[in-house]
Amino acid sequence: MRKILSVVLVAVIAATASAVPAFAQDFKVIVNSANSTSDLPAAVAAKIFLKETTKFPNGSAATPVDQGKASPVRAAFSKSVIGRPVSAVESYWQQQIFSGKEVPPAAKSSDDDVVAFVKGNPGAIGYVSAGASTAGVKVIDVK
Amino acid sequence: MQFRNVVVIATAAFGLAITPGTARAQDERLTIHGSVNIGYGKTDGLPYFGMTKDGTSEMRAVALQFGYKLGDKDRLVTQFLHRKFGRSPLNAVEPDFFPVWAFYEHKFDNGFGVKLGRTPLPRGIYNEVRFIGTLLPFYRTGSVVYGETLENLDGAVVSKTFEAGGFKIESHVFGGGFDLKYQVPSASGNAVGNSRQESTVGAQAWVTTPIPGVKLGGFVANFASVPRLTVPKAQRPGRTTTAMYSVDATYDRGFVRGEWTTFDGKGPGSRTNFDAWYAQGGVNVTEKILFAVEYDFGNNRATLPSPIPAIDIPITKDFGAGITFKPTPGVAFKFEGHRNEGYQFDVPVPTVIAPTQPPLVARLAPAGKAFYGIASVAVAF
Repeated sequence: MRKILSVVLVAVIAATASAVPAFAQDFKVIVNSANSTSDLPAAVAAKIFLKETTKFPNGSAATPVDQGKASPVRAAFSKSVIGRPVSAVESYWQQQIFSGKEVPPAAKSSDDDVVAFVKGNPGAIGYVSAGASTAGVKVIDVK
Repeated sequence: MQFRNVVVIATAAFGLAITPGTARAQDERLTIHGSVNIGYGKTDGLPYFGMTKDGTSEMRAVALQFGYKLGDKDRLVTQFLHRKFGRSPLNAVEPDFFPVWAFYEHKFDNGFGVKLGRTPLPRGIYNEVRFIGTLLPFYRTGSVVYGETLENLDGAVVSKTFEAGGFKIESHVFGGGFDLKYQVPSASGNAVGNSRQESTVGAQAWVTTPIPGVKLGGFVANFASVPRLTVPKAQRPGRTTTAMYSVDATYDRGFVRGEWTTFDGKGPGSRTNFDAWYAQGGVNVTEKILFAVEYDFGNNRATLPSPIPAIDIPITKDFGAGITFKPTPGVAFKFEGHRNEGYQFDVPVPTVIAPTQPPLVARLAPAGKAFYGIASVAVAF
């Protein structure tokens, strides 16, 4: 019995341990290749995507670009970086829009569209799925 | 606007709200957003806020917002509103379709922002979003606290957000004019009017505390009814000061909110001394279902002919409970029930019993009572 319990425990720990990095690797955060930023605290990235700040820590202007509401990569990014589910972020944007304060970032329907937007806008910051091609843009570390 | 047109708008808005991505299918400089809040209300007796014993489906607020980004720091925003207050006499002073906002905004590099034109007025928790049903726990904000006034400002609002020591302070100062829509009981029924207020100066501050989810707000404004300077001094209305204090604690599992407002004004032969508050709580039973309760209270200190002392009239004591089902953040179905007791209904009710012999002290007439229920649907995109 003890052996069975030990095996189950090890299996649970192994599953949990492997689940964490897999979740963390569900997306890559990208910026324009001319941007000197190479890493960004998650709290700062969250402020950029919620438009609470309009600049990168290096002082350059930041233009966030989102993915569609139903996108799995957005769900992963939202929970991991913004710390809220997409539905809570949508409610936040309703509050901002209808109090005349801000409108949400532009939303693109695919990884390719996000990459194209970031490539064409020096201040842009976006996220794409882990397996997406990021040729022509810079992947930064967000933690 | 005909009800049929509103249904068409509502249907289109619902379609946009449940179709992922359609709201963004537009030029990136141009943004279009909208909200529809439609209700059916019924009372068991006295008509209250447009609801009658026969029931009314003429309860709606349809908002359509257009924004155009002129550059990284400049934009133009306009929001149009179509609103019906059921069978309320207030409909007589409400245009069918009008711009509630039409402003130009500039954001400065130093963090200051300015809005010029007809702008949203930062006042308490709900003022700017008072027409947006998906953001309200009930069909509408507590009428006794928010009323049909200070809904927007024709003038300028300057804003700046500071951060210091775990606190975030969002501050706004403003100046301009606004409309005050009111109804006053008279022998022949409730009279309604739209009184223009000018020379307004004021401020709103929000302090987000280091306690997670908790923020505190304070609002103050001073204004004067017009015409004012063109009338003889002896008849000139005085200036009025209004304030609002807010507490908001919002969490994933629910919220507790409360606000208290006061209006204090004095002029020759007239005196305004009114205060009201509400307390509200909600529990997210699931991610999509909210159960909320609210208690509203309003008190009007009425000046009576000398030598009779003034009397406090508790015009509204409203307890409500409601349930909201939100299949998505952009769609909400609400069912609510309220019990209202007081002296503020859509028909005049006796308020004060005048003294006929010494001691010359007025007494309150028995309060009116009504139960009312509202079923509503709200959509935003």
